[in-house]
Amino acid sequence: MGKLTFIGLGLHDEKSLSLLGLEKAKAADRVYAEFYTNLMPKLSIKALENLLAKPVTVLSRGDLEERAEEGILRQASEGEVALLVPGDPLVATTHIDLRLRAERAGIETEVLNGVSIYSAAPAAAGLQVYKFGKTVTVPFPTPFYKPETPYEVVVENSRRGLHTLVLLDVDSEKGRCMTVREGLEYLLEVEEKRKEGAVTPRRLAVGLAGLGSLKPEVKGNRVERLLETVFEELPQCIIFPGKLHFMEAEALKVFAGTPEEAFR
Amino acid sequence: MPKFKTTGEITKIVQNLEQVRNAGIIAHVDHGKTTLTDSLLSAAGLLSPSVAGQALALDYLEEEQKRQMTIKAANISLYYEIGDRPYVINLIDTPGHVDFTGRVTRSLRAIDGCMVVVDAVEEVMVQTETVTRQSLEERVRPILFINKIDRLIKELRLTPAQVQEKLTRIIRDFNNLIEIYAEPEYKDRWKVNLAAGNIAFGSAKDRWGLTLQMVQERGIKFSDIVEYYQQERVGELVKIAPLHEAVLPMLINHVPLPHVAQKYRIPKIWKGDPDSEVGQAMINCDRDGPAVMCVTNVVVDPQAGVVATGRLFSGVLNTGDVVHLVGAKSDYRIQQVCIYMGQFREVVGSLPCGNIPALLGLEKAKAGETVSTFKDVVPFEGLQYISEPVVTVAVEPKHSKDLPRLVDFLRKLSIEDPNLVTKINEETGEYLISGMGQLHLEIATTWIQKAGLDIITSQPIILYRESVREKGQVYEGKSPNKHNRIFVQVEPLQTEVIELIKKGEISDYTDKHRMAKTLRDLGWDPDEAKGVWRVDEHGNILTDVTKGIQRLDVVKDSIISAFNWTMEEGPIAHEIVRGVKVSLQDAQIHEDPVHTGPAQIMPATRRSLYASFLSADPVLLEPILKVTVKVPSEHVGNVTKIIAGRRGRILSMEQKEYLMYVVGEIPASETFDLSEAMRGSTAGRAFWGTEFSRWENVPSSLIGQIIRNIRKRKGLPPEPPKVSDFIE
Repeated sequence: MGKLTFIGLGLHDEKSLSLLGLEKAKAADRVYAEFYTNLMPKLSIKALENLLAKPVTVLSRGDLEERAEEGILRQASEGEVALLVPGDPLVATTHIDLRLRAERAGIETEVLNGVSIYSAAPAAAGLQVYKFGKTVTVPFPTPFYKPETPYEVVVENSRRGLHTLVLLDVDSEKGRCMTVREGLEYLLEVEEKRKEGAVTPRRLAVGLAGLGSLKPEVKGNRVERLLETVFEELPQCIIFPGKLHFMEAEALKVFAGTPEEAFR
Repeated sequence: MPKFKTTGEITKIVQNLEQVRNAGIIAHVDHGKTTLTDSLLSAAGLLSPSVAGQALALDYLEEEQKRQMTIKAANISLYYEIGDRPYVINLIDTPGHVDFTGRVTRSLRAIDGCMVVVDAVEEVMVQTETVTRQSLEERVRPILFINKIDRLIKELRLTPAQVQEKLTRIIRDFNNLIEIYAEPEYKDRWKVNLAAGNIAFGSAKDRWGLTLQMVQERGIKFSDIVEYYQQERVGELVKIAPLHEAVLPMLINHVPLPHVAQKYRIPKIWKGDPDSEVGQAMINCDRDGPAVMCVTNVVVDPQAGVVATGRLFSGVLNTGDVVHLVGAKSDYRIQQVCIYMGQFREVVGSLPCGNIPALLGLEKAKAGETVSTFKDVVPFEGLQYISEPVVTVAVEPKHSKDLPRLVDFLRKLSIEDPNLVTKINEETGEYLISGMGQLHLEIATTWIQKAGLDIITSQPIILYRESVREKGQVYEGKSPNKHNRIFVQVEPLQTEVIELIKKGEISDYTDKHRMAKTLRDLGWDPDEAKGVWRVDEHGNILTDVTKGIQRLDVVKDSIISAFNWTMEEGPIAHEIVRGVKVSLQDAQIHEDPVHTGPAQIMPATRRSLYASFLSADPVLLEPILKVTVKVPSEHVGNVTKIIAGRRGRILSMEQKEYLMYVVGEIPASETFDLSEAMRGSTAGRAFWGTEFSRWENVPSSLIGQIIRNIRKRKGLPPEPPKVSDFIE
């Protein structure tokens, strides 16, 4: 019987792969990867293939969501298949359905964790994971779709004194990642409309980029100042801190260079 | 001789609405509308200074004759004086053929009275009935012009007594239409009679006309008219009874004044709240109110660009004003406000309500658009179409280099005549034009050819509709990422509700409480009635009956888009869906907005909708045309044979004088060679016309083949999908 192994790629480049993941991928009959949940711009497929000493086939969203039965699942029912997924494979809900379908089809599944944004971001900012509320993603707005949910989530968490991790959308077709600036502008626009005071120009926020690399960019400041701050790496994300523990405040100053006045 | 007036003088006159009339001329095809308009224009046209500036009056007339008066103007203004009082009459263009009925209805919105032209030989015909009925539905007061008296004398050689008898019968038949179709309070007031002076008769071609008053004042008898013709002294008749002296005073005296008519017309033709500020402004024709204009005609002028003409019901419009286009959902600055001088536009800078301005600069304007300085105004359409596009042809250029020009021309065509729907079939690369009937399309293709484009035209294609006959099951539709589930149910919409939608009584703009009440009165469940999300123009409704679903607001627009998309292409043959109620029963929506975009929710909705549709006893509907024939008794057998031989049926037959009136129905798919057959078997002696009547189930013996043909044409697999294709 076949087997489908989900292997976390971590956040930055091919070296974020764990040793166990590397071993498992090398041993598989076929190796697939997807980059539509995170473009991982610093990862080179060539370097990955060299590392694994075998070809890696990149799959699209359609291949995994709509054509899995005739593609990856059929392969996995006949042999050992590895699917390399950015971050921690099952954390961003996307692949749970694939795993369910595999199990239902009698295919054994295995999950090898990778570094996730869910731990990397709080850690980089020095914030305590216990104190985070709901996470939310800001989607690329279109004339037909510009939900206010991200704003509502920040409002809800802030009311309860909790931090909010705001993820930023990836458009794999256009090879685009949303930036901290775009994410803040989205939220400010909703603030204009709703005026609930959750994302004002004077509110403290933390912008993060290049997590998982040796030089992550982590900057705390008022929203109005963050809008002007340049972040080099992609992908990026934002944290809106809630009520701060004194350790957290200290960490934001030291790790994120947050100026004193931004706390007021 | 046309009067010469400056634009300034005319602009001054139209400030006083007592001196303005907004009217139209409507008729059955070929009853002489164009000839009548042309005769009036040359007799009482207004000279446009920009034309007359360089050329004198006579040259101007010659120019017109060269163009054979066929210039298509959205409006023609005429000038006439009674005593010392000057009047400006706006004659709004109303297309003649019933194939354009949609456009007629729209033009009616701009006018307060109309002159119905009836051919004295053919008498009251099917389209006379249609256009008169439509006028009455819009509270446009009809008056009567009986045309082609010359033919009674020269061709039919009727005696004066017989002529009079014929006129009496036409008047009686016409009043009968008013009796049938007018609302109770107008039945008696709006009937016409010779003594009241709201009937004229004459010959538009020979340019004479008479009212009873003229007959009495000028001492003309029927026998005199007959004599003038017999002795070939028509010229003298024209001198003592010029056409415009009969018709123009009749229009001035019997077309209601703009501000008077608006009082009772606005509550009928506008679906908003009459007691609202905008409603009151329009009812009172209030210059100080917000500007609200209903666009009835849009042309693309090579020099001026998009020209939008229509009726301004309240407020004042000025060059430079920023106005909101309700349908296009966009704002534009008016580049110029123009008035019509004859058939030409002249810049005036500003016009008050009650008038017919032409606006330049509204790029996205289409006929039917509501233009206003008040953003939230309820629009006028609600396209109250009696006819719907039922036939399509594919066109392609003979020389591929002409393709860009053809595309450009098709775009213009659909702007100028919104009842022509032009569309590119992405899969086959075909350019499709859809219209209200064969003739409508023939005229459109003639326009293309006249523009110097060589085209190849396909066989006409009938447009079908898809519908259901039973309540379908509820199926789960999954999004591609499998994280969202939508549950809808499809069932037939009651005929009464479809009618209300078609009449514009309920639409997306209807006040929610009023809509809920209307639907409850028709037996809808209260939750269904108050949950309506979308009413589409094809006659379908989407309603939400769920309670307390999390994050439904985030996906509402996507569900509505999916509904629209699905109603444009049904599951059986990708034809338009008609008469369907879709209710949202349940929805399970993922927590994070990045997983609930249109790309996820639209396919999920469509899958559920298609599956439920297919379980609801789906059916294909075909357009049925009503055909009316007047034919000498000896040919009546052939006519009934033609109708019966085309899957048709006879509805009524009635002997009137020496003619038989046959009314029947034929499926549109069987009418392509009707002209030839009718001519051939009646020696060309049948007067006949068709118009859209209704949608009817395709007979089960034909449905399989028809579906396969449509699917093949559209590049779809031959067999329609099954429920199992959309669910897991």
